[in-house]
Amino acid sequence: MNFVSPVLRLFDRVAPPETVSAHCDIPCGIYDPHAAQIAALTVLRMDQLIEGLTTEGAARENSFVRYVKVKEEHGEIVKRELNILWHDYFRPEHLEKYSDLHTTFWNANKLASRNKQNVDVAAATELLTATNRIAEIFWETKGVATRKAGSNQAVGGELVYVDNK
Amino acid sequence: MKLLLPILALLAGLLTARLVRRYVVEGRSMLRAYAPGDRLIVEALTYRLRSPRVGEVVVVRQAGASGRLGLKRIAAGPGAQVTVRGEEWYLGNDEWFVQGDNLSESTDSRRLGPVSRRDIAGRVWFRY
Repeated sequence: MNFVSPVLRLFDRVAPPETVSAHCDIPCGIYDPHAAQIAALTVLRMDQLIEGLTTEGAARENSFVRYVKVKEEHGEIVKRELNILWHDYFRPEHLEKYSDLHTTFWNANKLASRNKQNVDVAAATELLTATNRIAEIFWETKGVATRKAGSNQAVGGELVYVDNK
Repeated sequence: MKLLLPILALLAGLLTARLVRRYVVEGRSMLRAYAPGDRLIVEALTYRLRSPRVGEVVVVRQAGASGRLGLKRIAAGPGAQVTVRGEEWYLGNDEWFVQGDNLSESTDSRRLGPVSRRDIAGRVWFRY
């Protein structure tokens, strides 16, 4: 069915498919901003790799396409993971304390889109900061202390972690 | 490639007649078979001709889930003994027990009870 997929994807662009839920928001209550943070870190890393490309010819093209593909995918993961938190975890009472919550999520989503559209290390760093801020808010609502620390990855940058001390 | 046009025409016809539908997966309860973002073609023809079978992945309207459509696997059919909210239950003639593959992250018949055939919107045909 390989040749059918592109056509169906084209249909999807014209009329998006319906959503079928495989999400367990009724009893499990398992939410975590870490997936969004890691995806944002990946977007930043892809920008770094794209800007650092030194090879020429087909090898360069191959690497470039791979980096852009991963950047695109992880930009989408950021949006999806943030939106699960936004729609499913956060409740009206959280808005009382975090009155700019909707704007925070809205801006983070727009930032994720901007990162998909461009190769921009500064925008990717901003996206990482935005996901970290949401992680801080998320854990605060659960009464869990957090700390910022280096990612300990090649990409550098900081992540907000749960502080278990 | 000679088959391309007929297959595409067939698909377009089925889509137009709403006998097949396109869905995008949201959530992790069907991991590892189906991941968030997977796009699926679901067909509503098979269950007009025969009953669902254990192991098939279906789109269901689950009671208690605000009418939202869920992606689940049929785990048991009529006559089987199952446990719903801790109670033993024998499935009736038109009762189907559906579960997510990722049991620790799935809301399904274990909590919501079985579904009837009327609640099964279709069977997953393929991923695209």
